[in-house]
Amino acid sequence: MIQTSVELLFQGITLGGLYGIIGAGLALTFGILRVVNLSHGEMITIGAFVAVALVGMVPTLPIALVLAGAFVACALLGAFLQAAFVERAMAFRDPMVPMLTTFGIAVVLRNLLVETTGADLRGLNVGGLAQSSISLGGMTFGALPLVTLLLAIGVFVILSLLIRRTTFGREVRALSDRPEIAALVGVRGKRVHIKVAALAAGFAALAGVLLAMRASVSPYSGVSYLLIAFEVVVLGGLGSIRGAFAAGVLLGVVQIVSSRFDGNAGLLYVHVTFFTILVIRAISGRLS
Amino acid sequence: MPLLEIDTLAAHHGELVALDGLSFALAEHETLALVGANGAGKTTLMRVLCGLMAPTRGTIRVQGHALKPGDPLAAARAGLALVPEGRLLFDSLTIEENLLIGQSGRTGIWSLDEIYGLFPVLREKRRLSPAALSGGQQQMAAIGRALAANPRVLLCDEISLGLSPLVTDEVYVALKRVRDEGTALIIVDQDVTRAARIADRVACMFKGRVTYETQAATANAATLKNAYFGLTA
Amino acid sequence: MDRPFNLSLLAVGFSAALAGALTFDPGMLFLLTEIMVVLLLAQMWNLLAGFGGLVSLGQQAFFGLGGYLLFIGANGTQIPFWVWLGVTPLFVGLLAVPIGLVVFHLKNAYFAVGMWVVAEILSALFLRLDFLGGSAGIVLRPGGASMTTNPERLLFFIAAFGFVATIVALRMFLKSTIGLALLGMRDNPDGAAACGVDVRRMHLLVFVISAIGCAAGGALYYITTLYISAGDAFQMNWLIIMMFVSIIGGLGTLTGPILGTLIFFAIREAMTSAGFSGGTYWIVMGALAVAVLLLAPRGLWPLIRNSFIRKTGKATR
Repeated sequence: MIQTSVELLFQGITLGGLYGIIGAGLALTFGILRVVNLSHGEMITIGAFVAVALVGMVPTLPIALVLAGAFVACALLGAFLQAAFVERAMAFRDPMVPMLTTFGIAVVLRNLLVETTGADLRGLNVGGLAQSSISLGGMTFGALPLVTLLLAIGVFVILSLLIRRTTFGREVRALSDRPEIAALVGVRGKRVHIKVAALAAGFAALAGVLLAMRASVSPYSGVSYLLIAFEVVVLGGLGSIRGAFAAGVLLGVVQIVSSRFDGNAGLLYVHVTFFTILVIRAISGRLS
Repeated sequence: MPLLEIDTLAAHHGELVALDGLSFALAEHETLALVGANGAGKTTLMRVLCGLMAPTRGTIRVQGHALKPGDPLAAARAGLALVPEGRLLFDSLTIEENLLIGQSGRTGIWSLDEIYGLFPVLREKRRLSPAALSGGQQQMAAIGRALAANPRVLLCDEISLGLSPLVTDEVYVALKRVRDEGTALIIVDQDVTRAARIADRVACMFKGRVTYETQAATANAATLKNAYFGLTA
Repeated sequence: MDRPFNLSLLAVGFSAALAGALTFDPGMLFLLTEIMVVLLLAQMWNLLAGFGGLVSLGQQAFFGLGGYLLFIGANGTQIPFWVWLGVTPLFVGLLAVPIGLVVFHLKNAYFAVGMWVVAEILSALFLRLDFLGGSAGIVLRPGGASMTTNPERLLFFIAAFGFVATIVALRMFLKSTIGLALLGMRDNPDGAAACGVDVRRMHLLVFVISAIGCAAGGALYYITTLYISAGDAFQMNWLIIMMFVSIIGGLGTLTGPILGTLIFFAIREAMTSAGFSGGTYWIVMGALAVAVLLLAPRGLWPLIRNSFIRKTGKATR
């Protein structure tokens, strides 16, 4: 009993770490660009499909290279979309214009993916990672969850260092505080925007690869992942990377535990958990 | 050639005329005190100069080169730096980071050490958030942030607003040093006499125009007051 | 001036709907009813986003609820489904009140995505409820008996005349004191609030009206298909349609969404008959929506109208 609980908790935390990554990306773009990027979910699926394609071409490719390939591909795509479309949409005073623009981009990307790969679910297996496991104190931990956990922690640490310790991070924080004044002191806003979009897309792709290895992926998966990312951002607080990971872990644990007791639940309990917290916050007035 | 040359500059807030064909020039090393009642257009002028707002007409030249209108990056590159009204420091950055982000790559005497030399209290508080500083210390940090860019012209908007006389004195001592190091200054202040004391020239704005201009040494209090209130002498 | 116009609009709408219902073949009527449903949905999204300033990504929730509640009511009782067609949307409107009261705590983009979460919860819930057939869905069997005839003629008439009546009602609503307050609120929320407009109540009003309209669309649509499933009824594509046609045609105008709907069906029918696969027209629609947002964010209809005004030198609506 205790053993199963620990294993469930472990699974929940690893899944939650991935949710934290996608939420942190969305929070970062919202904090800096003031745009809710509705094509964020598509970066997750495209990252996964890039990995599927890479493994299809070179089946023996080590996981680090698969992750790197997905990261670079989606970072480039994210940078391109930001520079070509979203930045322009941000020039309009109505904040809904960029959000709806990213929604249009998401629909285009999703259906382009359907046209190129088909609508079916795809699995992804890199280096037999899904099968191998490690025993520890009578409990077995899959190698994949361990890799996932390490990656999630790695992303968390890198992102924190990037924001807190580097010139880029300084510019990001300045831009998020006071965009006008940041321009006055010479911060190149557009350039920072593109870097942030690339970073968020790249991290989303990393999460996408691991999510595809955990379960499977279809071109339509992006929609559910986007919603989870959004829930993570609302629960974790804006622009808070730590909050994003905490919220991600909460939702991850809810999903794993609920699917244990109700196999067909899908994301129902995850969404219900989110909504319940929202209602409680609304009633207690802790929502702005 | 003047350092900064403003020619028939006009700017509007919607229908409202904020700057109405304003012209003046600023020489190298010169300090100009800009005075005028609320709504005279001083803050609008500052915003237009540093590119936060696009003029509807007219040009701004720095050392003879026309400035791209409404582009804060271009203004920063040309050597204009603003100490904005209300300080507007970056709250997510420490004091030192606020200074570091001001560095624009232009070289000059205003290194981090020099700025700390000018405002020793900032060195003490360099690891703190601006929110933990007093209003006067925040104003010093805002001046420091602008100085870090080693600007040709330092624009100071409402420099003494909300500061005690004692702190204002301290700020003016620092501005005098900045002037003596060779940076040109435009100082906007409600406190006309204090601003005039360190300025070479005093200009008075009324309804979006410069209505009166004089050498600070020969400034006549009565004439200045008339210009301030829009009365013709 | 306005009253005679509205009355003649109703008269023309009535005769056109009647004539159409009597002359077209069933296949055509099916397509035309779908067009009428989309026109209605677009107008409802437009009312919410274009006039009310509330962008929602979850209106498919009300569409699906409308369809499901009609099926549940009609299949479980002896009351004719035509009655349920009238009652269901009002019931969904009632349900929208508590939903709105919660989700209104989220602002702007958060409200938009929050509504999306609501739709996802309903979708997952209806997928899970076994007495509703689970993922297999349910067939329309009024009073437990199979449908013997397809009521497409009457349905088309109701859909077409209902749409015209909706337009007339919206015209009158927007001219009323409440409508004018709504427009004032959209253009300047703080100013309107200062003038004593209760922003929250106005938002709730358009939210509930929009929910009723979306539910009516869902109820109508699923009578034509005689079958409903959660995967279809709550799917994102319903929202994407209403949103894209409103954006492309022109948010905040009554004509814009109509123009957008015509463009959507023209592209869909042309591409499907040219042999393109199902997803391709979504790519075209998405690209068109992005292009319109970036180049003419107010939509195509205001663009056309303005160039017309410039040419003729007089104002037309």
